[in-house]
Amino acid sequence: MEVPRIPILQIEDYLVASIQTALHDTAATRFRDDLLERIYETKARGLILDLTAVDVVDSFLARLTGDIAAMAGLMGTTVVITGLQPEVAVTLVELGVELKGVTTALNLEKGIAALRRMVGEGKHP
Amino acid sequence: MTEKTDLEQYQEFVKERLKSLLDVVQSVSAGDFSVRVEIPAEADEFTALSVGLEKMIEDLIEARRVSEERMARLQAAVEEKERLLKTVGELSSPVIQVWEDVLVMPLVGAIDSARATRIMEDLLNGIIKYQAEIVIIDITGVPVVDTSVANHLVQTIKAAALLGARCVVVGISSEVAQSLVNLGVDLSGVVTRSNLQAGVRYAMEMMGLEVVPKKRVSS
Amino acid sequence: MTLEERCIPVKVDLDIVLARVEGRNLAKELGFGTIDQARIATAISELARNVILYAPEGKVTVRAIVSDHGRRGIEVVCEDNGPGIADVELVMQNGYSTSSGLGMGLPGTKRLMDEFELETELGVGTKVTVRKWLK
Repeated sequence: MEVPRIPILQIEDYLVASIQTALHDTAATRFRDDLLERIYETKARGLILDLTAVDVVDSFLARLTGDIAAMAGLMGTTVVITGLQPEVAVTLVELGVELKGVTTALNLEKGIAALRRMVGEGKHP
Repeated sequence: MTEKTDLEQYQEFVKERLKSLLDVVQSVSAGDFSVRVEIPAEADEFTALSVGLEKMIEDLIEARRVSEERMARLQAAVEEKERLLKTVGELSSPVIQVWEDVLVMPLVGAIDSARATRIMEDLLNGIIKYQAEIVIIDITGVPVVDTSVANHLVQTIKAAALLGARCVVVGISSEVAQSLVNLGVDLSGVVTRSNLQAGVRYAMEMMGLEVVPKKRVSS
Repeated sequence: MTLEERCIPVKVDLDIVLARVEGRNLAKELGFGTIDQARIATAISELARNVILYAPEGKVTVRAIVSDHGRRGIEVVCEDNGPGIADVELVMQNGYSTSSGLGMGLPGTKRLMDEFELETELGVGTKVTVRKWLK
């Protein structure tokens, strides 16, 4: 069964991916690969990962997110995570999981503002 | 048929009276106050004892009644206190927006585990509601901060950070500071300032804002 | 009185999501708040993932429970037929992780829940039981 891929949008010089469905491990790993490939193709300076629709972030997903940030960082892309739900934030803290090297923002609007601050105006070269 | 001698008759009389008194004593010590001492019309050697015992039982009943009344009053007082505490709890973790993106959360009074959880929820919900990026947590009014509350606070601050909001804790008294250090609580990631004013100044700095006097128009 | 109980077999990674959705639904029905629902779902996710990672297969059972004092709660039992845990103390340490960098998430799971029990037998399997009570 082909699981639908997570759409990755481009806004100016940034990529935006919004996770809508409950990701099981295989889909999550494929999402990471898609993402990194897209970053490579577009040379995007910033990536927003929107987790508004995610209701559970366990240690696997947290690690995956950290990996995405680290790998994207190596390619010169800044990653901002937006839309973490309060109950997810609390659970992550209690699990003892640290999201290293990851900037977080409340929502898409603030995420883009944060990217602009960190990366500069996202205009195509 | 042998008639009983006077002595035997007396022995029986004593046994009977003693038994009836003993029955009453046993009932009362088992908690049954319904039995009463029988005081025969004709006074005998046991009358004084019977009367004394009856009085004692009456006193016991009265004492028990008073005690139950007190218990009921205490119970009512406890329930009232709990109602009041609940109200105080609801009133006492408000989240106030003092500026765009800046919240203040003044905490007053002792904080237990249940309240610490409520504070965390109110703070996180406040960040979402006001889209805040800075939260000033003012604990000037909190007399004691123990390990568990300190840890709750640290976790709250970490969770707030995941929502994109920075927290600054102000109003740590010298007693609280001492106990936190003595308890070995790790507050390394926590930004603190001395008071609310300093906290607001920090918030302004973080937001890149400056307060300047208005230009006076000279006539 | 029969209490609500649901059993989810765990064999492929999709089952992790199924198990935690069932768990979360039951938690919601029992009256747990959103944060506790997230804690329970996350704990189930961690435990079910261990089954996928370390065992041929297993199952997650979630059930409503009542304490002696009449308190209501939820119990999650996750058992597998894997190799068992050789060093339980090591695995329960914070920061422990296997060669692939993935920990078993057990210390974190314990923190999320109110009660945590672990039974394991080498060559037979592992069974983790966690409970959370309504306040």
